[in-house]
Amino acid sequence: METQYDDIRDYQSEILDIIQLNQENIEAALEDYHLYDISQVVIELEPEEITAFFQHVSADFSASIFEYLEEEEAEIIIKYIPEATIVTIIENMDSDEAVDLLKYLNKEGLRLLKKLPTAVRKELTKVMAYKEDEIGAFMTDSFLTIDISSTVKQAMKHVTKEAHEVEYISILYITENDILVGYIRLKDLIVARATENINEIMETRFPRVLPNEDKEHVASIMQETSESSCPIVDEMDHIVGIITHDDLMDIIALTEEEDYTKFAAISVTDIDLDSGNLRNSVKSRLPWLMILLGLSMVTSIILSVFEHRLNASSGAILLASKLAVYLPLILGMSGNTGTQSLAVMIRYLTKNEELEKEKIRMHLFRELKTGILQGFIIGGLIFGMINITTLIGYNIISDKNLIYAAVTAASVFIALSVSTFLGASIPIIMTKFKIDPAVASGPFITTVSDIITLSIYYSLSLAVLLPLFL
Amino acid sequence: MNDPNMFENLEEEIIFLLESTDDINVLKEEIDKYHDYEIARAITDMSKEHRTILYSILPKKMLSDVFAELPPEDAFWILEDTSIAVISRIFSEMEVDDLVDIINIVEDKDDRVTYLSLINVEKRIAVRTLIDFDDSLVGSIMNNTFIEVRKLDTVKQAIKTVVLEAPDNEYINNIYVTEDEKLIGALSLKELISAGNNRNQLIQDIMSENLVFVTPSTENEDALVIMKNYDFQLLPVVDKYQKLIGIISFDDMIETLSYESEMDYSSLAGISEVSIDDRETVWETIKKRMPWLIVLLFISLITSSIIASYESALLILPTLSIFMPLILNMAGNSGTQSLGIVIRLFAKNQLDEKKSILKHLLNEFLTGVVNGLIIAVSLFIIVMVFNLIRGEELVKGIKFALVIALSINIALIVSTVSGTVIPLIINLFKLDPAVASGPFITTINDILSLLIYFGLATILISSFT
Repeated sequence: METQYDDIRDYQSEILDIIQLNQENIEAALEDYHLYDISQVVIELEPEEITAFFQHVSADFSASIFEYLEEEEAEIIIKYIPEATIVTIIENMDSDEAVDLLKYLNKEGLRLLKKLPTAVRKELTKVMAYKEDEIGAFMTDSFLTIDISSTVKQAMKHVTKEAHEVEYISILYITENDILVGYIRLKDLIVARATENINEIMETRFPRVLPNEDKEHVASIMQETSESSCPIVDEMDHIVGIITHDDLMDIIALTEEEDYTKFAAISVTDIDLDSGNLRNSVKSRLPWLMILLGLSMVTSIILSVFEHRLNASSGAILLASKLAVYLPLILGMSGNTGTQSLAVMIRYLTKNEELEKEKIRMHLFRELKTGILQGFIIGGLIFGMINITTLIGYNIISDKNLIYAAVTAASVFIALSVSTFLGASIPIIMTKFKIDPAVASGPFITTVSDIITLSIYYSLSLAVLLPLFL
Repeated sequence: MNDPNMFENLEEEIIFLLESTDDINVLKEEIDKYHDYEIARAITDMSKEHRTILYSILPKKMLSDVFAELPPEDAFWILEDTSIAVISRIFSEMEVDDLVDIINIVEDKDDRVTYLSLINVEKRIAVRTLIDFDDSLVGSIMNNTFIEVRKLDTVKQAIKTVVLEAPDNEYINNIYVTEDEKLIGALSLKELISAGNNRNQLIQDIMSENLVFVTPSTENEDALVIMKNYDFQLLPVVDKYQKLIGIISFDDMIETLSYESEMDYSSLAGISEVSIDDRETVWETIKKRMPWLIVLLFISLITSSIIASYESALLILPTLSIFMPLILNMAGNSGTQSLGIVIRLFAKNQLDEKKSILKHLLNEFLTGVVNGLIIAVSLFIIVMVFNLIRGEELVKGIKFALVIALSINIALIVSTVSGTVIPLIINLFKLDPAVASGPFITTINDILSLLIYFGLATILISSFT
């Protein structure tokens, strides 16, 4: 496209110039730029420049820059900043961001934590105690509350005065004796008449959650209400923090990525080319492969059990080799259908959190019917194919070959029906037992369906075909 | 005031009328006497100035009707020279089929997306289904309402604008500063309110000129990255003249987030669409899955013909088939893992450069080597124990275990690499990347692993004799 943006400016190089040229009034000079751009320039600076930069800017400003950095980036920069400065920076950071950084820094983080003023340390330790899945680990305390007795005019005055101090003002929370009683969108406050009382125009019906609530649950509440924040309260209904739209995006992205990677049987939450190295990549895959290897051994054990009976005579050995010919095809096909129905079910469960029994039953029933129909079609195709190949090879189809084709086709039919149904029911069974259904990966279902299909194929063949081949 | 015979044609008559008076009310009244198609005929012959007058006096509905009367080619070239605000007004009352006709005239792909994005959200969905339109672009999800102020407005005036327009806007967190519709600055509502103490300040003194914006042809995924990096709740969308035409909000992006991962799931599971509706019938479900299964069935036939050609080996060493499913399954699993990574990297546009592709391939190869080695050693031990229980002869048992271990080692390396290479090749030929699905990769890996396994086994058997 022929674009005509006259001021496509390279903001980052402008920022770099400012940082390198005027070190005295650096903060004022950078005021017009986005913190994200500034943070990206800072990580590229030379070590001495980093040291100088953080000497010349306020702790508050530094903290904002740190909030835009990835933990790995922050770790590198921290080395070039005196410890006393670091401590004040962490003090000024949003508590959830500060905790993420301290956790990432491990022992060093613990050491820094001890240097913080008691009040801050207490606050951070509280946030730190939340598990990764709990919403408390994501919350921020930078928001505004308004007392219920205020008028619109008083409230607006309060907002005007405090706005530059806090991160988030799109929704204002209303308290009565420190207890959360309502909220009002800034948008509505602005258009309200100055003399009105807050309690007349505030919203009083709204979701609130406890800090130990599951993050995905809170995300789905927020999506439903489509408000840009959600309050977090303690048992007494005191507001302790809020979750904002950017936390929501982080949570959803994280959850989606977690589910997806589990489906591919990889344990890594952030697939990124830049951070990928051999050690991480092996670490994220090998454990799954080892588990699957153990599970796969079951197929070998089953086959060796059958082998005793298939070793008995030369006829039986011939049958064994004939069975082996279609073995990978049958296993492959039932694995494929299982993977398909599994993926559909997992997505269905993630999207609909609270499911009625009726709907699940309906869905399972549909999968069953789908499996049977697909099994019938694929089975029919295989029956035809085996007969055609025999016809081409021997010019005649004997009864024995016809039965062989029928048994193979019947096995495919059963195997496909079973594994389609299995793919849909495994995640449901897992949810019943409170296991995250996302653990059921594509490779997991293929392996399980291998075991089942193999058993069906060999027992059916041995029962029907073995007497014919003896 | 009009003598119908005074003018040679209607066009001149209307143009004369527009020049005759500055009184808008009189003009409105006079113009109203003409029929839509009469104005449509005149509008193509007018100068830009005359058209601008006409736009300001015609009511919305009539303006839309006039453009619906025009041949789409004429409508398009006139629109090209028209301000964004007027285009939005024209589009707002137009019927879906007329809109489709106009959009279809636009040849440039990016311009097309821009025009489409100017249609309001509900109608856009209807139009989108009638023309071939990529809904992974910002133009298909953006909102047309936003709050704009001028740089010479005072804080007081700007707050007034916000108060006035707040009810029509879902999100008012950011206020955009425009000059002749062109985006020149932005400020957050927070900044505006903080400036409330000094209400006579000019907007240009508090606005930020550090602009971050996208165009209608930006990929949703790229817009998402920007919003996440900058922690934006809203992101402005501009056309190719940097005119502000809309915004995207965080909740539009949430849908993008799950849509993207839906796509990833679909390709990993080998299914054309992974989401399911409660009312979906069995036939609809089968239609989504069956095509893949049939294709895979025919590819799988290759495995059967490979085994058939090695049947003699199976007759001599029936034990071979015991470990066949295990080796194929493990190869399939590691292939699926690599594929899972590649799909994500594609979605994040991280495999655009040759350098990064090579880096990733090397990493996958080495991962395959390490995983293959560890799995092979474990399996070697397992097979030895297995042989011991079955009472196999030790030398023969070691040889057999070696073949199995070596096969799985090579098979894992090959499948890890092929799980990366196949999607890359498919992408190179611009085929639908969904072709390289999990089941597809597994099937291809079945074929490769079988060849490796039976190849090595034949060598083993020849060592017996």
